[in-house]
Amino acid sequence: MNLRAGTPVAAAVAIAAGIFILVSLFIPGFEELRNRFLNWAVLLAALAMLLGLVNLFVVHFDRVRNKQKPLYSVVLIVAMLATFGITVWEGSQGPLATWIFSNIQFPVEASLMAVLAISLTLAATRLMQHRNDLMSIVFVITLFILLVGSGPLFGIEIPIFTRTLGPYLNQFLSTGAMRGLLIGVALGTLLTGLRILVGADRPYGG
Amino acid sequence: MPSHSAQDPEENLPDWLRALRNRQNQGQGDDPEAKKPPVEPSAPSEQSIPAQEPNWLGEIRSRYRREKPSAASEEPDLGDTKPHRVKAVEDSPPEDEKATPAFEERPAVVEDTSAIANETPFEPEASPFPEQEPGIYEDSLQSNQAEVFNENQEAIDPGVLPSWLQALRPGGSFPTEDARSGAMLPGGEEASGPLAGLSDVLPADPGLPRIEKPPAFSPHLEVSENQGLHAAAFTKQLAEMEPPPVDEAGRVARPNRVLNLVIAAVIFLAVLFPLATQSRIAVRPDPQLFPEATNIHTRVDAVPAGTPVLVAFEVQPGLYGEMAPLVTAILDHLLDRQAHLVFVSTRPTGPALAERVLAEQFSANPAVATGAYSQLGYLSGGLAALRGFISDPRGATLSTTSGSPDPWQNASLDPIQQLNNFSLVVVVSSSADDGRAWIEQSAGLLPNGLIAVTSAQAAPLLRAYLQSDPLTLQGLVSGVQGAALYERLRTEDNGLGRVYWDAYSYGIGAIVLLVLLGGLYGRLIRIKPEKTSTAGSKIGT
Amino acid sequence: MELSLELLSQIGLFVSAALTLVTLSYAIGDHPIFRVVLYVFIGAAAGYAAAIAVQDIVLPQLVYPLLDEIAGTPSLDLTELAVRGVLAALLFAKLSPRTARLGNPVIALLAGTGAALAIGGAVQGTILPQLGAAAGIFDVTALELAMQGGYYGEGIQIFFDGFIVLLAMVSTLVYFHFGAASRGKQEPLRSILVDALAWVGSIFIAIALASLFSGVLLAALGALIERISFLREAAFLLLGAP
Repeated sequence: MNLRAGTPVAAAVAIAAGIFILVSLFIPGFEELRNRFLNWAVLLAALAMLLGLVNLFVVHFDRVRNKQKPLYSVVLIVAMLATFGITVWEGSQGPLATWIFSNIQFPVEASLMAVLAISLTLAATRLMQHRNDLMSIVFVITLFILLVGSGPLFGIEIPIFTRTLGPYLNQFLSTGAMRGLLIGVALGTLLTGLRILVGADRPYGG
Repeated sequence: MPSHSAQDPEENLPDWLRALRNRQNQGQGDDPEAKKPPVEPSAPSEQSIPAQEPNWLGEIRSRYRREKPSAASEEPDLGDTKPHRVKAVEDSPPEDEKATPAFEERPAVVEDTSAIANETPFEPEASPFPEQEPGIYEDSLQSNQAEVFNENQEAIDPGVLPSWLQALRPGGSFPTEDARSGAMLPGGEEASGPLAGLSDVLPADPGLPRIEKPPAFSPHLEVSENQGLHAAAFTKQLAEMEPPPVDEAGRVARPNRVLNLVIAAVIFLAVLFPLATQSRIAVRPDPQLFPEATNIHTRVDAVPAGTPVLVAFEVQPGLYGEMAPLVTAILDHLLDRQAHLVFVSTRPTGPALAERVLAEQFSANPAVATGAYSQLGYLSGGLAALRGFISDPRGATLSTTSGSPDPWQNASLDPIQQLNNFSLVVVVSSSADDGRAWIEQSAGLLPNGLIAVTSAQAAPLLRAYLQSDPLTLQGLVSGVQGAALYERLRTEDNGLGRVYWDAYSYGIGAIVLLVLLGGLYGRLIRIKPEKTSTAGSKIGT
Repeated sequence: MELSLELLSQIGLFVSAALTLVTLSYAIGDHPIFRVVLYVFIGAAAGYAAAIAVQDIVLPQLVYPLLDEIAGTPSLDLTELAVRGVLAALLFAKLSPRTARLGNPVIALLAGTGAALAIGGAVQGTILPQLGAAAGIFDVTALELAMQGGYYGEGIQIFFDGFIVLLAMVSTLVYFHFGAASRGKQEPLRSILVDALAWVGSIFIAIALASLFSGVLLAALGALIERISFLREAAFLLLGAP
């Protein structure tokens, strides 16, 4: 374990807060204090979001000043400030704030997701064209079974895929592998969290 | 490296040379150069040749002597381009001349100059002058020369060299004229051109220069034997992995753009056609194949009327379109059961999207129209906020505490003190991470687990939680397929899921065909040039 | 007012359709208009999220109680308010490079809290339940009943299904295991069993990745259907078609 010197206060705060929260999750009696801690964390998270906005503004303001693709940055700053100002002023349920969300943010984000259908089809096609190794072959075959098994093609159902292969893949093969991945992810989370709690990792600087 | 001492050269002169100089001085009494130092190794005469000099060298000397006019007579003609200093340098006595004969020094001079010219700019560590920058070396050399020849009135300061000539000097680090070269090959300096007056600028023999090698540093890391073995094993394992083909991207660049366009057009048309024709030919999924979805139906059916149901609305705007039919089907079922819906979200856009689906699909529903539902709003703070809410729903920091009436004042929420007081917890999630966060944080607090209504992209990961012990997830339904399935369970034939189902069916058909045909086409155009090249090579052989 | 709302709605429909078309045109290729739309979107999304955080958390939890305190009508315990104020001030110290270090303890509080919650969630919500499920992967009761009733085929099927799920889980985990036993001066080597399981694991991982890929593709297809449906309806509404 590599415990570095410097900002011991920050490390002490992280360790103390983490251990307290962890203990309170398993030992009853600390709920009130834990909730107070969590409320502070909630407030800090909200303030951090505000800081993020300030940072985004500063970065793009600098770009405008340095004339690095200033048009895009001007557009971003205007959109950001207008949305922020209007939403704070009239609330998220206000007519203008709702209008901005429904007619600007929502359609662009939904359309970006829609474009992904085309991009992923192209990616699958290219994979089919160029890869010959075992994993790629298994990947393509599984993908084919899952797609065909997810519904009728042009209105025509192929029962062997929709009733046998697709459900079997989903319920046994894929789920088994996913369980392995989930446990792996959870173990990784556990390890990363423990490293923060013992001060070996200090993502807060110091 | 040639060193130029400032000490008086006369002190170390051998007797025979001292005698020669005396004789020379006597013969040059009227010469304007008479004020020069008496030592004149660069104006050699037959007498100045050491007795032990071989005959062949003597011949060379005499030949040079005959061909080259005297330096003194040439000087005025050269004008500004004549580096007078060089003449002076030629006249200077080398400090170590007594120890080493001039002819033995020549290769050393060449070696040094080439080493400076070639190595210094690129290999600082390999420089033969590690303690001095080339420029510094040059300066010190010049200062030494000036010190030695300060009596020479004709000597020209190095600064007199024309700029264009300075610029032509290799690398700026080339040492100034060396006296010993002049002593070895009198008149060896260039007579004209940019190198006029300089001798030994170019190596006499290309084979002679010995470029000093830079010091060798070991490239090996200092690792223990055990570490080395592990590293080797890891390298071997990496090497066994098949690298992705790198030569394909360029070859398929142009067809890809066309392919992109074709794929986009085909999928657009495939989806648009059933929507435009309001097709209803695709058979909806069989509920028997999806027990996890029928579990949800059963759970919702069991919700007592008027009881609060928590709906965690973790939907991103990007996937709202995909999830709207499914969410509509589930909420419709819950509202039919007269459940009191309580919305909450850990995403800033969650509450707005929940309101959107209510406004778009349920504006005519009496419960929604009269506002008989609760909007707890946005839980800011990620896991901390989520855990805070799950531990203490009433005490959690909630957005709607600002201005709007406190949702907890609603009488329907009176029984809610803990999470398990809700008759059902439904997580509507477009991402697996959000769903996982709810499942993990609520584990142990909900005896029957929760139910998940998800996007198709979140389902594969969350499905693993269906078989957990203790139970964390009791039911799962996802995507457009889930919407069509749930509507079928509810015998609803005009829902949004039914409208989308044929478009979905055609879209999948188009995607499968495109992947298959595109893949085969790609294989064919890859095989074609290989065949051509094989044929070509056969012809060639 | 009614008219202006309707006008706003019409403009919104037009803007929404235009933005959808521009964004969908990215399927053919990148272009400057798409870029502009993207930057508008990023700005609006960032502004909206921050505004929600300010309006719903910062104002009611910090600013309003502070104003109440100043006005002499305290709505929050002074100590609690002081703690919140100090935390906020320390966080805002991050804005300047000179005072940024002062904000480290506050970020540390967030990091420590987040890490503890992640650990608790991972252990309680994933590791224990999933391992519990893995332990009971063979439906012993059903297997016993099948064998007692002479349904050997079904019994084998139950056993086989359990075995496949267990193999998939274990081999997937083994795939990410790169440890090897030391063999003195020889190169460390994974055991044949681990190697074989890792190979099997690679197949199951390919299946899992294909499953995730198909999920994302189908989700995107759903989004595309909604957008095309919206464009069709918008075209009818804007062009006045029936």
